[in-house]
Amino acid sequence: MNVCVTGLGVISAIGTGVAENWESLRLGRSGVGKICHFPTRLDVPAGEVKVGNAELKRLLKLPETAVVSRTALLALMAAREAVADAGLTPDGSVAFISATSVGGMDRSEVFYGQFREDNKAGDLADVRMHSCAASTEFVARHLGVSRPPVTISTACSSAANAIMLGARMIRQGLVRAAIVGGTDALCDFTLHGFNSLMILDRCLTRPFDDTRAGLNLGEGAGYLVLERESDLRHEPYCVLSGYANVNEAYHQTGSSPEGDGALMAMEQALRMAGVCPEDVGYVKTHGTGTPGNDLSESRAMLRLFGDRMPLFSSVKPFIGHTLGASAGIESVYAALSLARGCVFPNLNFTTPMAETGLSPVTEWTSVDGLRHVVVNAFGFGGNDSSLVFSRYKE
Amino acid sequence: MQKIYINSLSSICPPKGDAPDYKALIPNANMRRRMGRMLKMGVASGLQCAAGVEVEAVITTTGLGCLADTEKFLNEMLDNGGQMLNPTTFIHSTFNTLGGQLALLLHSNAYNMTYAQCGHSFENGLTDAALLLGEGRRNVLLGGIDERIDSGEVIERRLGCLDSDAFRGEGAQFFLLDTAPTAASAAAFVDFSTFSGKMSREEVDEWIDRFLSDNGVVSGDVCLTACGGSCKVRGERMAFKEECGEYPTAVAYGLYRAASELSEGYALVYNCYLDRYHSLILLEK
Repeated sequence: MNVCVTGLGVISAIGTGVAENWESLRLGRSGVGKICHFPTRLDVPAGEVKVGNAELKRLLKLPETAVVSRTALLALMAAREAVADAGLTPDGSVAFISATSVGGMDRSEVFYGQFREDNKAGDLADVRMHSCAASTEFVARHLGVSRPPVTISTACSSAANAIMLGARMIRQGLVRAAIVGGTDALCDFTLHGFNSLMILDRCLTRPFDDTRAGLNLGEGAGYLVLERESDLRHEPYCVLSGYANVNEAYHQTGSSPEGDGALMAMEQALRMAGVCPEDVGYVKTHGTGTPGNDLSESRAMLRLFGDRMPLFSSVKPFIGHTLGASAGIESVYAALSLARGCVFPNLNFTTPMAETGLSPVTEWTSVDGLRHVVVNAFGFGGNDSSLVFSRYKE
Repeated sequence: MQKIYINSLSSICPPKGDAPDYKALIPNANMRRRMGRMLKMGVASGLQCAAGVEVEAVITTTGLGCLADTEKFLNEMLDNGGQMLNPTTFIHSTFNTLGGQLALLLHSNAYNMTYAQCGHSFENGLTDAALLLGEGRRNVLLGGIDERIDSGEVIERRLGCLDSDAFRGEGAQFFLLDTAPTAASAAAFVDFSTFSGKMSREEVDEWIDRFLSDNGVVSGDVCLTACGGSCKVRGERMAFKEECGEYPTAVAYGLYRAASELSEGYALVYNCYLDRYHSLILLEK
């Protein structure tokens, strides 16, 4: 059974909605810069969504006084767009599957600062949305999805796993459609966490470059609507033809230098899609800009594609690493890539890494006959997931 | 749904005084020392359950994740202004850290997934396990894990998330699921169902009646009802939260107890968390 992508919704550092994101990608306009929305002692660039919480609430027609985690606000913005784009009417036969790595920590960390001084202090409204489930339930309620929703949290691969689960539920007949993707808001907790791991670049991230020195964090949300081919009301963006979730079982946070996990994930996803490596036109890499990930992912691609390397790039210099949202946002981009026949530039790249000599696409490139796009999302805990999107009706 | 057998099960329930020999279960001293309580509990329970089997999927489920590590990192961040923070604490605050540790210790490249859907986390995982088995995988390891911390309980009580007579519990239960039984199979799933939202006592009972009749089971065939909320009891009553306490994945303990006790006929597990996460599991010996 073909599982088709019928709706897209996204909010990121480069725009609110698909049209703005597309325009920024086309113009090579990055959204990574100074952090403005919350106080932090860390002076690092990040891909903040430019719209503040008050404005998000206004756009969503929520009361000004409502205390809602930013994670949930971003999620509702993107999910609503995806549902409207698909023309889907959510009901009991539609699943909502959302990924997040941080949940409502943007509010909890404010609460906890007061609470730890006095355990009767702190505004409870700030901690009510702490759990990962809270943003999912908030969106499900506002969309009118009555089926109990699903929350996935596998760090940076989370949204890829949400997309995969939606397709599997449709294939086995549990639901007729699924709204799938992920959301994460920036907060001090995450910034300090990645800082403690010493993988934040003080400058702009440079994925796949020889001088790369780490990642820039980002925030946002991206959702796709998946539906059965038999239910199509209009031409879909593409088909989700393959997916795989493996665990590298190498290290709690790092990837193997040879890219074993990345290779397994891509190979299995392509096998499921029935696609040969040489038919892949574009790889939208995980490409975080850390020395470890990019070497590992490059070597995995070399092992898989050999001397027939497809076009590849990382979009993280545009939006930062949006963690639990990344594969949601970036799959929206991949669907656009297939539907509109183009691939996105890998900004900030100048010098191929010594170990592989590989160069990503650095210009906006139109591609005729793009048939298959691979989306990678790798994460903490050894979680490696790959998705294959294919052109609808070859 | 196809029948799913519980071919192995394990439980660590600290409120009952369970204190496993962690040294024997996690021999790597360095690894053990770095693990917080929840990780230690989860790893030990998961390894016990999967012993001697090559698992084809690892699914961990938790309502709130490693709370102690999350709180520790928050405190370090607020105390030190961001300087010299311990990355291990941050790593352990991520929800899939247990799944990652299990993959490492089981040397398993298999499918690895983590659900964090509050009072329906375990049920999310069960749905996935059923899908995986339907896709032809074997030996799916599924666990439910949550830990109790003092400040967490204070906040939950302030939020009204815990009834005044309930105690805040914790635990780690794992199940090895397969479509084929073995001599050691404890029980089999006939069906399960979830509902999110408020239900009156009458609505709960009607829901259960409908669930049983959809599965062709009459009340008299149910020998055991594991209640994690109030409902009409069929057969023997097992109020499992009196043993494990209240927490988001307590249903995993209810399932463990029901599967362990069931000697004939059917067992029903009903769970309700925070008055809006309801679930039903029907087991058969």
